[in-house]
Amino acid sequence: MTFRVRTVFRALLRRPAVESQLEEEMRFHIDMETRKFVERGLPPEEARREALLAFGGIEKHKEASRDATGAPVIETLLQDVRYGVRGLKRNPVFAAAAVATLALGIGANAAIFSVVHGVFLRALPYGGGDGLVRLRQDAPGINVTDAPFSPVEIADYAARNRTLAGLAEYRSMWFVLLGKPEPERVQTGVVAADYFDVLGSNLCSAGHSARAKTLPEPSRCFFSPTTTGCAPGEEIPGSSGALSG
Amino acid sequence: MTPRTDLLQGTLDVLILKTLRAAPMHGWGISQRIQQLSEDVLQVNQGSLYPALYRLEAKGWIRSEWGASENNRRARFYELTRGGRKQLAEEQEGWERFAQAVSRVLAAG
Repeated sequence: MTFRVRTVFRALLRRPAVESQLEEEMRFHIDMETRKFVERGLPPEEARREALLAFGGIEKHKEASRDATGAPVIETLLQDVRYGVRGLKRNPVFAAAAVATLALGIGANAAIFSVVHGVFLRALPYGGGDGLVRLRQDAPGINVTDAPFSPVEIADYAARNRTLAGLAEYRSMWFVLLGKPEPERVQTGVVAADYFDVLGSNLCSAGHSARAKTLPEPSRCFFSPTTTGCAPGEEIPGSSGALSG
Repeated sequence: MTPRTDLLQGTLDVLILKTLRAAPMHGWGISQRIQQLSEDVLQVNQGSLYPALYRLEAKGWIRSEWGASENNRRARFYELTRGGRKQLAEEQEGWERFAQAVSRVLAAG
């Protein structure tokens, strides 16, 4: 059933026009046939009768013609939709339950997908996100996983590194924030000076050489949710900037 | 049209397409021409022409527009589209092959 979409639409939208068109077309045909019989010598009534006989059932052919346009399929679909809507209006409780179920289903799906998208599918917002690796130390003999790195170990790794473009360490630490009316315990992230460079983020760039020849010195770069940049030793706005660990 | 023709819907379609290949025509003209060409073998129940015409139009093989008939009455004229011409050629070929095959079977001893 390969019907051209345009004809179907036309038939749907201009249904009264199609009706009168069918009527006129068939009337013309029957009149012409009547005239043919009249020319053969039949009286007008008999001619008309012969013509109608030759034509066959008018209503039947009209119906068949209407169906042939392919519009009825869509019409019945629309009729079913209208019937469904009427049914829902008569039964508002059921309708509300159905809508709520659909809403929950769709909402849950959307929420789950957003999470999956954010965590799995989306690329990390750093440059070269798929090239990042996390190094971890395990000591299976004493049943230790993810043991912390000591500064000497880090220096060692850095010195012998041949495969990685950069190496940066991080840890989280609790500090006490002074300078406010009440001292407050804050959790902080402590990272190497070139941490952001290694990640490929331009949040804070190491202004000086990242690796000292001796044990690396901690650099001071403070962040709070309101600061966007840093300089070594910059103070946290709104405090007198002293952390005691 | 004899009842047999009604069963072979595709046959009526190809007859209409062939008739329209010569020139655009209105429904009554098509039925007269088919009668004439088939030497009156195919006639009766002319109304079944119109569902066929509407179907062919829906498929895009013919197109229609209003025009003036020989006696200056308003009539719907149909004409073949390019797709219709192609379809006619295909069906003609298929029909000839079919007819040959049937004759061969019937001619065989």
